[in-house]
Amino acid sequence: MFFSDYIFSNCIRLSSLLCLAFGLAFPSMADDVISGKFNLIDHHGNPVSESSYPGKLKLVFFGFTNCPVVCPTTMADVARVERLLGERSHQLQVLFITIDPEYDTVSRLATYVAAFNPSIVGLTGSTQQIKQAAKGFNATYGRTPVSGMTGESEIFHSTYLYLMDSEGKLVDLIGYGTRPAVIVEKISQYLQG
Amino acid sequence: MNKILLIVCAQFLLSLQAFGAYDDGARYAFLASTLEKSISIIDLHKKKLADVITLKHSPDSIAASQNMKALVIAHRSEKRLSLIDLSSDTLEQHDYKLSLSPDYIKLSPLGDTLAIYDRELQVLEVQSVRRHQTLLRVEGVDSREPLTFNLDGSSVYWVEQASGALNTSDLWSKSAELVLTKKGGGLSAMSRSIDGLLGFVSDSLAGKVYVIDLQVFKLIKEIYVGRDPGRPWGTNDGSMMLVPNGEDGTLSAISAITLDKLFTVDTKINPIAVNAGWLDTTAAVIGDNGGVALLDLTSGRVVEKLQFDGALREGVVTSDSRTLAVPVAGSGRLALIDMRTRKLLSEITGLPSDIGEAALAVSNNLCH
Repeated sequence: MFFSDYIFSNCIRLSSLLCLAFGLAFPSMADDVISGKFNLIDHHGNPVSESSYPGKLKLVFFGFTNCPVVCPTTMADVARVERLLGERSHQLQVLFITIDPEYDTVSRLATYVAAFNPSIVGLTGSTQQIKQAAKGFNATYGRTPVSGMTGESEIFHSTYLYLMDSEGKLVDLIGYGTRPAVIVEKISQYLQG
Repeated sequence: MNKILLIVCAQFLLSLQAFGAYDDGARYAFLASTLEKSISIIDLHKKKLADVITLKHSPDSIAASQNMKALVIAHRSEKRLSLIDLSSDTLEQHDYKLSLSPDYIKLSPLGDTLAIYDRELQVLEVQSVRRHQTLLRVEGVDSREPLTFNLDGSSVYWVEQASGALNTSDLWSKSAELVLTKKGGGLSAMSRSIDGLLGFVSDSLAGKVYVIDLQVFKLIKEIYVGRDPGRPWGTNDGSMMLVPNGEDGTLSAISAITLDKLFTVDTKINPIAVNAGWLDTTAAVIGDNGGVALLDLTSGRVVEKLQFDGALREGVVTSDSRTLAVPVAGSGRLALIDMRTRKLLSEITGLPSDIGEAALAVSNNLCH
């Protein structure tokens, strides 16, 4: 039995004998109305929101610590971006928002993000808070069966890096697989110095 | 502790990664030319032709694998496949003989297995790209439409017009057939939902879309759309299936959540493909007459129309969902459309006149 946990929980359908429940974010917004709003807990256990990092650009990613490939490679790329930016990286705050809050506790997140770069902030919260955060970025996530033979399931999620300016407005989307040097190029347009 | 070790290993491997000439799967698109026996490599960042690979045989279709850092090329009449190693500076080419003619090829989502279909022999094979080993062989497959893999590449789906059925087989040769209609001949290829749970097949004769629960392989709903509906195209966030209605020149949007029809909009285009972009707020309906209609999916309205001088091929959207690259055969151009502003961004000219559809290794923005 699988239960997909999606963004707009009011859009639930029961679609099979396996009691599959499914709900997704409607793409009801263009980039100018992506709110970028969230109310979550950081990996130190402190409540934070989109206004907790004043004056900074934010690079936001939705993932989970058990992700085998996309999340660790993206975080490794982001860590490299911060190294390439040098002193200017202080103007940037990288946020890793888990989409698996049941597993990704505050302490797991703390260990995970620190392994890439201590400056990266891991964010978690209740299932509802994560749904609301994902809604604010039009991000998609859910759980899917992978193999009918084994009955295993896997989490899937959007792989964008959302670049938000200091006012909280989306200024760019960075796709998975974009090389760190290109990301630096994109971010540098919005940095001082 | 194990997780930390994995992360350290990932970082170490990334630091060691030797970046080949064209193995940046998010950056380089590939276009095949049968006449010139070549592959044009397009740098989507610099928006220019980066290189041209000359081949021994004509490329009939191509597919790019980020996992394998390779370009797979099918040579139909020679019954051969070529692999180009995109991570090597010299773009090493290897080709090998097949026992069937690759009329159609499809890479699995992970990019490590390849489905090959021979229409004359009516044989479908799934092969390991790395080892050239046949993992599955199915005979008596009578399909004119593209094949579809499930998410992990362990099952393949195809429609058979004669029986009006959707068929499936997994790598363990466990197969099943689901008859969708008694009046075959109008079934499209199946498109699946992003979670892999549902399949969507259009029936151009009946003007409807069949929704199949792939877990139990049963028909769960029939949705009437327009006249002559073609293959449904999913948005990347999984919220909608977009169905072009050829005879009407309209596009119907179906909610992949409630399975209700959301809207039908007149595009006045006989479509060959539909691509969604910019956070799935824009859809481009690519027509067979050189026209492209750009839709605002939030309002269900056509907001822009572009007209090109040539025959359009299927396009690809970059992994940031920002740019749609559409080959324009006849005039040898690649049109780059900004899906955010919904305007023509630029055109790359000087390409072979017979360029086929574009291939891009990293074009999906979902991890699964």
